[in-house]
Amino acid sequence: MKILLNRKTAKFLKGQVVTRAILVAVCIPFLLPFFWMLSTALKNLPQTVTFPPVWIPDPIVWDNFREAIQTIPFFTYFKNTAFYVVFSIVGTLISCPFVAYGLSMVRWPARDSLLLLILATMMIPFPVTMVPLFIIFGKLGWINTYAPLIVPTFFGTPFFIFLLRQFFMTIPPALPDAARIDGASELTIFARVILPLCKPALGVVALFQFLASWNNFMGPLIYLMEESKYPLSLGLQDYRSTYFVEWNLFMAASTIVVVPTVIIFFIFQRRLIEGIHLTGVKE
Amino acid sequence: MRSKSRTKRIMLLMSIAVFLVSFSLPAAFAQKSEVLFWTGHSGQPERGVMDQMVARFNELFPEINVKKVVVPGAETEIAKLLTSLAAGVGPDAYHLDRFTVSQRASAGILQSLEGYVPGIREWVEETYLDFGWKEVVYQDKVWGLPFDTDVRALYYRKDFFDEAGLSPPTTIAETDAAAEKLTLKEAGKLQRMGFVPWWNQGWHYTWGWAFGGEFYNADTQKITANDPRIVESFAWQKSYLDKYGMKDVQAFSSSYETQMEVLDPFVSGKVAMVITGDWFIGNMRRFGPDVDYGIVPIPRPAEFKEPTSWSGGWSIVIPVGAKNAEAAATFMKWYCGLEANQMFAEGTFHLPVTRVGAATTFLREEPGYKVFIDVLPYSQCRPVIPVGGVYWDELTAARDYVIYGKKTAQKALDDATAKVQAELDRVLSQ
Amino acid sequence: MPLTSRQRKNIRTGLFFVSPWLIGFALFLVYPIIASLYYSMTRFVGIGSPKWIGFWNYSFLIKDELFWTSLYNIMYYLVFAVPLGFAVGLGLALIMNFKVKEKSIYRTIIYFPAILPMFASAFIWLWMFNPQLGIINALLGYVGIDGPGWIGSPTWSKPSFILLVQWGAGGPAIILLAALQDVPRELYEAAELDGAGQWYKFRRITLPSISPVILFHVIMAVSGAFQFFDLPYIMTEGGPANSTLFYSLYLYRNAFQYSKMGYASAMAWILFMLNLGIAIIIFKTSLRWIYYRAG
Repeated sequence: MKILLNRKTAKFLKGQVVTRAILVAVCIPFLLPFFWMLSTALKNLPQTVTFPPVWIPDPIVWDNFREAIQTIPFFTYFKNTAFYVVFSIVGTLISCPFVAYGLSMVRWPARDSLLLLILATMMIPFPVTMVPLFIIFGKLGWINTYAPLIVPTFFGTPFFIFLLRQFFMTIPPALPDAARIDGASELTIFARVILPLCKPALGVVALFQFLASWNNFMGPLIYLMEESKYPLSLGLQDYRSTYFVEWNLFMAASTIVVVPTVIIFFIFQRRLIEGIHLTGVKE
Repeated sequence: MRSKSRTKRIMLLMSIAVFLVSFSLPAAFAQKSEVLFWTGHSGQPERGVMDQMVARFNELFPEINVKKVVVPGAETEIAKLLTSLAAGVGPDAYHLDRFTVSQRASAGILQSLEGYVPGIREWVEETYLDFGWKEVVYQDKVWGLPFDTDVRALYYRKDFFDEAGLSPPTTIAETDAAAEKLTLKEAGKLQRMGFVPWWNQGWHYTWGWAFGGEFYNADTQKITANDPRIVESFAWQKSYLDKYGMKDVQAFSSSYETQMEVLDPFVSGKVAMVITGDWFIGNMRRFGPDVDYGIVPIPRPAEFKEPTSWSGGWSIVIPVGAKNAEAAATFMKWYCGLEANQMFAEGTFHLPVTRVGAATTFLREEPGYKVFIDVLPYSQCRPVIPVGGVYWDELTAARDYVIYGKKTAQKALDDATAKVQAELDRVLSQ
Repeated sequence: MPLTSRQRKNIRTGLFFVSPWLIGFALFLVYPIIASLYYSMTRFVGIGSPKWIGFWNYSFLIKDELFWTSLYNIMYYLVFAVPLGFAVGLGLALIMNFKVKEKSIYRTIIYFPAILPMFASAFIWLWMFNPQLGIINALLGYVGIDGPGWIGSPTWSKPSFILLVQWGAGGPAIILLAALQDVPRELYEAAELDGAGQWYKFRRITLPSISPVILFHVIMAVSGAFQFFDLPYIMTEGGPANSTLFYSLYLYRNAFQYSKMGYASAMAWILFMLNLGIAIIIFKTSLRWIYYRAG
């Protein structure tokens, strides 16, 4: 009995050790690029080009961050990105719950087919519609403004609509029904009953929209022209081609754009993963 | 609770208001006396010097206000320019790579200057160097003014040459021999290459002309990229990959070729010779003041005795749909004139393109500049055809196919010839 | 059967709420797709009016060497990146599902690169892949392997991208993980009672249970692959020797750098049909392997 227990413990321990070893080994390639980015960002120039590579910078040059920011109109780019991010989130938060409400809280015949259609549109690659959209926005005089990037968010994004719809489906129908019996209008039910209940889901959607806007490269590339209107995604690209290939400054700049994502991610990590669970795609 | 939701609602309304206002704002600021000037020059020192030039113009011509806007990559992303013009928010003056002026003019994007400056045709011929004005004249009309120019030559590292007991090459054979001696390999990796012909300004045109080739026959309107001499120049470039190993040269190229400033492969000693332009003297001053280097004309096969080079440069044009073309023309005449030429040369080491400017520039007194001034009379310009940009892109693609071993020199250039000829025929037939 | 007033009211209410999306759908999707069919039959440079030229763009495309190169490149990418992405995603999901106390740390590490901006990843990997100064070849050097030229070599450039995008495999992995966790425990327990091994359980229970998620993942991965743009645009600009000139990159070039809006629209339509065709094939074949749980 004693031996058996020991063997069991040993097996358990071995299992734990092997499991952890696998996990750590898998994590290394995911961490290495970050390590290499940070390490390079803190090196002086000669150390970036030494062979074999220097792993831990010596001396550590914090000044690279200051220099990286000063070499380009970093704050202009940052301000533009913030403008884009904020208004695209506003647009998303206004339109997506609204549409999702119609797809979940109201019973009408074409509802589920419409949901399928909305999901199906997610499959269409952006390059398919890129040229005519550019021509339309051009005719509206919206080229070189953020309008082509922000206005469409006021008409709903399929993935977010779906996500919110999934969340709304978990709300007991008795809730809106009771309000209906009390004579409340659908708009009132939407704004007073449902919206307050779905704050967590709205948070997830806002977060995803933040990531989508912060990370968007192709949209700004197509629609914006003036350098002073660039968001960070384009600004940094321009930085590379025009100014230098001083890898340490370049990695310092990359670190700076990665940091907000890191912060947001760690604050909202739980919700983000819950949000993904919510989509489930089971039906 | 109530007041909180009201605050929220007010904030929402406010943000929508801000949102709407921010789109209409630019329109409210537009003024008629303003000349909107777009340039793709976003790097230093050109950018800062151009700011000073625009400020100087605004000071000299108080009735006009030039607003300079940096539009990176605008020249390569022509669709945005066209769409802005169609929507009426395009520029009045535009910085265009000069060799594409004829292409843009034939596409109907530019306004000819005849209406704005009387006697312009004679004036440009008198004012600008030959290759400069030839590039802005298309179908007997003037479509822009030359802004600056450049010339190409071979830079070599004196320190490396002395160390190896070599003297600077004048022929292709000497170049190959020197390159071989100056190439260093350590632990199986190339640490330094004597020469990489296609780096920097070692373009298809550079070597095609150096080998005595012709790219276009104006009489028959035929593209001649597969001229045997050009094919030979491509095959010669390929020989460097065969000699030093394609994989090694590729690894070396992708590590160092695009590095700039202090890490520029010539400045940092990764390559002993490089073809580049006169402006590079400015780079050497700023980033490699201690580097011991010299400049000689581009090497040619031994049978050619005359030096070779080619010149490009920028120009200022007025696009169709410009709201203030009259004032833009005034601006251009000053901006491409003697004073502006000199300001630009002093700040950036780019050669003036006005005859007087080129003859009197302080650059003549600069020790390294002698070679450039000497080869300037022999310098050529790229064919003035309505498909100049396409031709350039196709030649570049053909060159890449050859140096990456995807096609033979003959095949790559035959393909390019056929493709550009088809495009040219299409444009000419319209 | 006539609708009751209640039903009619519900339809009105439903349509009212979905109207923003319907308008957006018409303006930003249906109209552009139809318009691009029209533009694909014209020559249009962005200024002036489009000139009708019938099927000229399509016939020119067939003769365009670069069109075929870009199509080949994207199919190569698709054929390798999609299955590999799925395998890596599923592998990671299984690993992330290991029951250890600090599992959320590992999940965070694996998932995080997936939400990183592509443009930032591009910069980091440009530096990682540098053949002479980069860390990857340095590491390979330690174990005696002479690393390739990666994105600087026409042979290795596409495989480099296929490997690189796996850094973001945490995204699909987390979705697959969610699906794994929803597989009812009773199914495994029942199988264990029958003496089933690990492989049998994986093959007969896990895979069928998550098959709808797999279908979703594969469809999205295919359309994602057709949009592959940011990384090659920033890292290689289609080079070397056009080996990374992917379809959407060439489409972008035609539209915005050459201003051939008609020609680019023809490419867009071919892309649309291609994507639709592949999606239909996947759906059709999925009937054979997909398993919908009752209810």
